Parts: sequence; C-alpha cells; structure tokens
Amino acid sequence: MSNQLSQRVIYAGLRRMTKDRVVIKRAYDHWQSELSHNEFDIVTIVNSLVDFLGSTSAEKKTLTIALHSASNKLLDELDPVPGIISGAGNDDIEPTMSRAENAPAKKTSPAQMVTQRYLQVFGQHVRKVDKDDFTEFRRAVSKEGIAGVDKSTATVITSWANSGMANLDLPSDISEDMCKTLTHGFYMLACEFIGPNVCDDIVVKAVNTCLDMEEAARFNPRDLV
Amino acid sequence: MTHNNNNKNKTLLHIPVFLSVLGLLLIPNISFAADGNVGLVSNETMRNLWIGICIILVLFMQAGFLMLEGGMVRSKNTINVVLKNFSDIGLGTLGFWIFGYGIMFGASASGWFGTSSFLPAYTENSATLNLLYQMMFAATAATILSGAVAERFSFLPYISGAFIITSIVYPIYGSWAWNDNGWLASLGFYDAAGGTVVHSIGGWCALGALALIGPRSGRYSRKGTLHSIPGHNLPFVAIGGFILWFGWFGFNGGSVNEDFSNLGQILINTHFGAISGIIGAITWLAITRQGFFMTHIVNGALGGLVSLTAGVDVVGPLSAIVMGFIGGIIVVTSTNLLNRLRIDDVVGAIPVHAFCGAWGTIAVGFFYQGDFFNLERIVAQTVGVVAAFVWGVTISYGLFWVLNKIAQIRVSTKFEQRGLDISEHKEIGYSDFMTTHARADS
Repeated sequence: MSNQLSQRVIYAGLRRMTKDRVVIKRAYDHWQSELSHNEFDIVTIVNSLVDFLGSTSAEKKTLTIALHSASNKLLDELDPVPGIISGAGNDDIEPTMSRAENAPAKKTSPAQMVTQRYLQVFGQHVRKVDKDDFTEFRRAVSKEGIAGVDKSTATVITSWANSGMANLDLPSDISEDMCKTLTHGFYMLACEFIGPNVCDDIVVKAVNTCLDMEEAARFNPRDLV
Repeated sequence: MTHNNNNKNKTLLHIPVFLSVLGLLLIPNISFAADGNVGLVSNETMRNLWIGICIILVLFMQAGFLMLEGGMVRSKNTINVVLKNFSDIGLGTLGFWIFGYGIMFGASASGWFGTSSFLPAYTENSATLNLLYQMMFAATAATILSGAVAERFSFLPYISGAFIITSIVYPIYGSWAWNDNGWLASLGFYDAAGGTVVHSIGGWCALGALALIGPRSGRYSRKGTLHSIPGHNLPFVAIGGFILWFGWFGFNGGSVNEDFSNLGQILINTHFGAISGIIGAITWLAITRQGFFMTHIVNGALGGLVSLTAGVDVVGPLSAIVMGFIGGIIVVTSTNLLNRLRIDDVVGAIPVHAFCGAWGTIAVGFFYQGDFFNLERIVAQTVGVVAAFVWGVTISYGLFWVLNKIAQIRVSTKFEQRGLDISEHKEIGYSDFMTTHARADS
C-alpha cells in the first residue's frame, strides 16, 4: 500500500470513529510517528490507536470496520487528508464534513476548550482503569451530576455522561470558575470509584495532554487543578 | 601519594591512642564505690546525666515520628505533616510548661488534677531535668495525633488542638496516674513509662478526632472497598521506625530506679518489645497470607515497644517477648478492623499507640515479675485503661468539635485534591519532581 493511500485510509477510519478533530489529529499524529513506517497491519494499528486514545470497545469495532472498508478502496475513492490533520498546511478541513461541522463556527473560549479536553481525557483514563467502575462513575455523573455547577453545564454533563463520555461540548459562555468547579467535582466523584491515588495520576496525564493544546497558551490547564 | 597515605595512617593511629587515654581518665571516675556513689561523680550526677541523655533520645523520637508520618503520606502532603510534627513540639512543650506540669504534678487534694507548680522555674538540676523530660513526654502524646489525621486536617486547628492536649488533656490523665495523690495511682494502677498515660491517651485523642473529621476523600469506595493510598516514601517509614526504636531506649530508660539497678532490665525489655513485635506482625501476616507489608511490620515493632512501655521495669524478658509478640499481632489485626469500621488512620497510630498501649498496661497485671496474674492488679490496670479510653476519646471529640465551630478543622476538598503542602504552606516537598500540577498562585 502506498504511503498516500495508507494516510487516507487511516484518516477515513478515524473520521468514522469520531467527529472530534482534536482526537483525529492526535490519533493521526500517533499513527504517523509510531506506525506509518511499519507494514500496514489493521489489527496492530487498531490496538495501538485504541490504547493511545483509551477508546471504548464500540469505538474499536467502528474503527476496525472502517479501516477494513477503506483499505479496499482506491486512492481516488478516499478523501485526501486535510493539511490541518497531516500537518502539511492550514487548509480548511475536508469538504465532506457533517452538517454540524459545516455550520458556522461556534464562539469558543480557551477555558472551555481546555476543560472539554481535560474532561474527555480524564474520562478515557477512568475507563482504562476499570470498565465496571467507569460504568458506575458515568451513571453517577449522569444521575447525581457534579456538585456546584450551573444548570446549563449540568445538562450538558448529564447528556455527555449518558452518551458514554465521548464528545463533550460545554456551553460556550462557561466561566473559568465554573470550569474549575466542574473539573474538581469530577475529580471528587471519580475518587469514590477509582480512588484518589489513581485520580491524581489521571489529573497529571490530563493536564499534560491539555498543555499541548494551542489554547493552553491562553488558559493554563494547571489552573483546573 | 605514598607520603599522603602514610600521613593519613599516622593520623588514624592517633584516634585509638586518644580514646585509650580518655578511657583511662574516665575509668576511675565511673568505678562504683561501696557507698553507691561513683568515684568522683555522685550517683545523683550520674542519674542526671542519664536523664539528660534520655531527654535527647526522646526529643529525637520526634524526628522518627516526622520521618515515619512524612513517608506514609502522599508527596503532596509531606510538608504539612512534617511541619505539624515540628510545630506541635514547640507549642506543646510550652503549653505543658505553663499549665501542664502543674496540673499533672502539682499538689492534688482531690486526686483529679494538680493546682500548683504552674510555670515552674527550678534551680535544682534533677527537678529541672525531670521537668524537661516530662515536657518531651507531653510532646510525644500530642504528636501521635498528627499522623492519624494526616492529609485532611487543617494546620492551625491542629496545632491549637495539640497545644490544648499537651496543656490540659494529657496532664489531667497524667495526674490521675502519676501524681502521688492521683485516684488511679491510689488504686494501684501502674504505668512505668507511659504506655497508657502517653501512648494510649495520644491514640485515643486521635480516635476522637478521626470520629469527627472522617476519612480522606475517596479512601472508601461506594461499594465499601478500600482504596489503597500508599505513602510516597516507604524507606522513610522504615528509617522513622528505627529512629523511634532508638529513641525508645530513652523513653523507657528514664524510668530507671535510683541506683540504676534495673537499667539493664529496662533496656533489654525495650529491645525485646521491638523485636518480638516484628516477629508477631510477620507471623500474623504469614498465617493470614496478607503479604508482608512493610508498614505493618514497622508498626509491629512500634506496637511491641508500646506494649512494653507500661511494664518495662516490672516484667521478665520472656514476658516481654510475649507482650511484644502479641502487640505485633494487635497492630495487624486492629489495622484491618479500623478499615472495616471506615476509620481512616493514615499511619496506624490507633493500633500502635492506643490498642498496644492498652494491651501492655493490662498485661502488667498478667506478667508482673514474681506476681503473675494478680486479679487486683489486673482490675486496677483495666480501670486505668478504660478511664484513658473514655477520657481521651470524649475530650478529644469535644475539643475538636469546639475548634471546628471556631475554624474549619477539615480542609476543603479542593485543598485535599491539590495537597496541603501547596494549599496551606505554599511549598512543595519535592520541587524538582513533577508530582502535582497544583500551583501556589492559583
């Protein structure tokens, strides 16, 4: 398989698995740096990406099917990898986006973006620790909510927990203080399921991940701790 | 090079020569005369010297507590625990000097507390040394609390509590047991070096505080399982244990009688307490197949030492081994019991100090040399143990309840997450290592 084709296959598979561009970019970069020089083996790629992202078994299945399907196509049949993903340029992301993604860009704040990422990474790592604990934790987030957060944030968090904690879309007008309250409440609740030591490790990982974001220059992820 | 080595060897040769000359000078001074005095040095001077050494050893035990407790907490709370150990001796011994000594050893007509000798200012050597020795004991009673309530107890309420414990709570119980007119002393209650007076009281005060403050966040899961929160530096714990063992020779050694005739017995029983505590803990861990937890084994040694503290000068070596062995077992079993009861004692202070202190004190009734299983003594010892439990737990609970009304004794969950080092002290114990992302300025 040519290098260009394998890039497009990976991109197609990732797009099928998630709509989150940040996740697609991270996964693509991971593949590029760790796996692109090896033989194109779907099982190895899927395992590595799932491990790296902390994906669910449903996401793993979607990625596997999508990669198999894409790898049977010709180069022209696959969308090219946008520069923003491949790192080749800043061209707008692909023409085949979903309607929601084509909608006018929502106003976002750095605190909102960083908090979203932080919570997603946190959730992924809780899932990695213990699937049963994660399920119960998710249920608790959904039923009990996070202490101290406002109504609109609480609604978003509940639906996020109900949908398996995949893509979080916090209210764009969320304040920095509310972001801190949210992440702290999330931590406290997680402690009851996986313990404070593991939670502390996850906090460090989540903050480290967020430090790589562009928004981290304007809102320091460490302020969430 | 060779020339340098020769010089070094010559210098080294001077050391044994110097030590031999020093020994020759000292030997006549420490040879005992028939009248009980020691050559040029009187028996009283020797005793004062020994008590001075004991004071230093007991003070050094604070370093042991500091290391042990510092190692058993997470790295984000190290400074807080270390500072609590450092500060409680400062405030505690001052409080004991102002109020405590008078309450404990002043004239006590009622048998419940002393009413004289406040702010003592002695000129006589032995009285001053005794005062200082007792101040060290008081600090030990207070510092036991710091480890139990670590990682969630606010700094200022803690040192305020420690001040009150050393000034009032500990001395009142001490007056019952160690004042000549104390009501427990009149019953025949015996506690040589503070198995109950110091250790159990400290442990029961910790239990009262723990009942009020509750466990650390996330220590117990919703399912009821225990989340492990391992200490950040277990070698520190072992070193702390060794320092305490070392210091205990001073803690118990000060109970020596006037002519030093039982010093050997006291020191060897102290040692037997520690080693049999280790063996007891290992044996129980092996029988129950829990795994040989280092913290349990170090605490086993300490439990053995506490078990011997009350009767160190009145039991034989074999009894000492039995007492220490059982102490080691008590540490392991009661640690598990406390976890089942959801009492989150971070360092195991209650098993070691409260339970083993109680056991050792009652065991004096069983193993008193030449008078085994004296029922009257067993009853007196048990009364003392029960009184310590009731007094320590209720007063401590009440004290911290009042303090909690004045200032929150438990830190906020945000502080707990960030760690008390950065939240309360604006310092990080290990600044070269990224163990937390919490920032002092946020």
